[in-house]
Amino acid sequence: MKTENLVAALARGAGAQKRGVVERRIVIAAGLGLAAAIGLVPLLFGFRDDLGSSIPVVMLKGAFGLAAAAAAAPLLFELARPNTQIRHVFAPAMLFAVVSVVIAAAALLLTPPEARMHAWVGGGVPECLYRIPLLALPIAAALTLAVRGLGPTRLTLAGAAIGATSGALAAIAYASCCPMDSALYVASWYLAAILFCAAIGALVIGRALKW
Amino acid sequence: MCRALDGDDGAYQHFLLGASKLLRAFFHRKLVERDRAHVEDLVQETLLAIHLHRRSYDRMRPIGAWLYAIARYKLVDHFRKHPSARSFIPIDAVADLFAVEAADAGDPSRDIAALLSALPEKQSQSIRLVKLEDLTAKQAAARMGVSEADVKISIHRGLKKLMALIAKDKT
Repeated sequence: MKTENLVAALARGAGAQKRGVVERRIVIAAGLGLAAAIGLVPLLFGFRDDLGSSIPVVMLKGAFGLAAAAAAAPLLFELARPNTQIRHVFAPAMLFAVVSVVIAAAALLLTPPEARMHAWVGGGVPECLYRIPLLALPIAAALTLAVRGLGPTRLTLAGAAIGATSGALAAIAYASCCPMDSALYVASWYLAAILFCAAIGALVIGRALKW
Repeated sequence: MCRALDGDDGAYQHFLLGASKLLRAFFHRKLVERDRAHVEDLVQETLLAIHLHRRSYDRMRPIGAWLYAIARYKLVDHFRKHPSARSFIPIDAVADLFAVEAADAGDPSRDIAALLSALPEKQSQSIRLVKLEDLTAKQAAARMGVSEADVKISIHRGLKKLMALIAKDKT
């Protein structure tokens, strides 16, 4: 088939295209994934025992996750499509990382020295390090399916953006079962878990995105 | 392209023709002499990718960057499959890079139309009727005895599959 015939064939009956497909698909996928992650919490870990009396602090921790997701979203919207000018969309993500490090440092200084260790690691290994990535799985799967059809051209970075976004959304779900309330804990370990998700995303999801 | 996305098929065809010229020059410049037989294949492959991903194009952005992002993706893919095709340009030949090449449309080494028969019946028939025989989706739907939406979805899936087949074909 000659190229001009191919062009004619592709153009024939091509029709109008909807606007905002990228944003819509990603938001829908993220919503479905988040719902699945919240549904997984009681199955895998159970809500925290004092959920009723701790709504404000759970909301606050959820807000941390939401802020992280909002910081990563511009990156994802940009990397999901061909033609990625990512320099200007890096700013929110960087700002978020810096602010949470500052929060962690401030909380460290405000905590009396003898209580610091407990506020930081709680009772032993911080569980959110593996629980948040686990909850991020359904979100990442939904986002990967949504993004693959949009033609990303920088796959490793797009994979990292998917990982970070799904980790951030998973943190919202995880807030309802996490028993640790110190700002030091949340700002450091939640951020670490989200970055871990981003790294896994770059390695694994980047390959799955190939089209 | 914006008019094309709003449903003007004539404008779309005009855009694709212009794009194919740019792409041909682009691939011609990027591939070494002995690998030039692939130029037309890459052009067609990229056109197919443009078509399938056109809805993710943001109308506020420069179309050229979008076009070349897809072309570059296809080029890298090609290099990955044919490591020997990578061109290393001697410094003396750098001037050639900037030469305006009006390469003529060559013959592709692979026939996309022939690949259609590898698709499931419904998909290949939808593509044939609407894309090659100039029926509207509605007429094709009536002839095939399925719904109009079904025909449109079959075309989209079929083209997607076609692109996957081409990618596999090249290994």
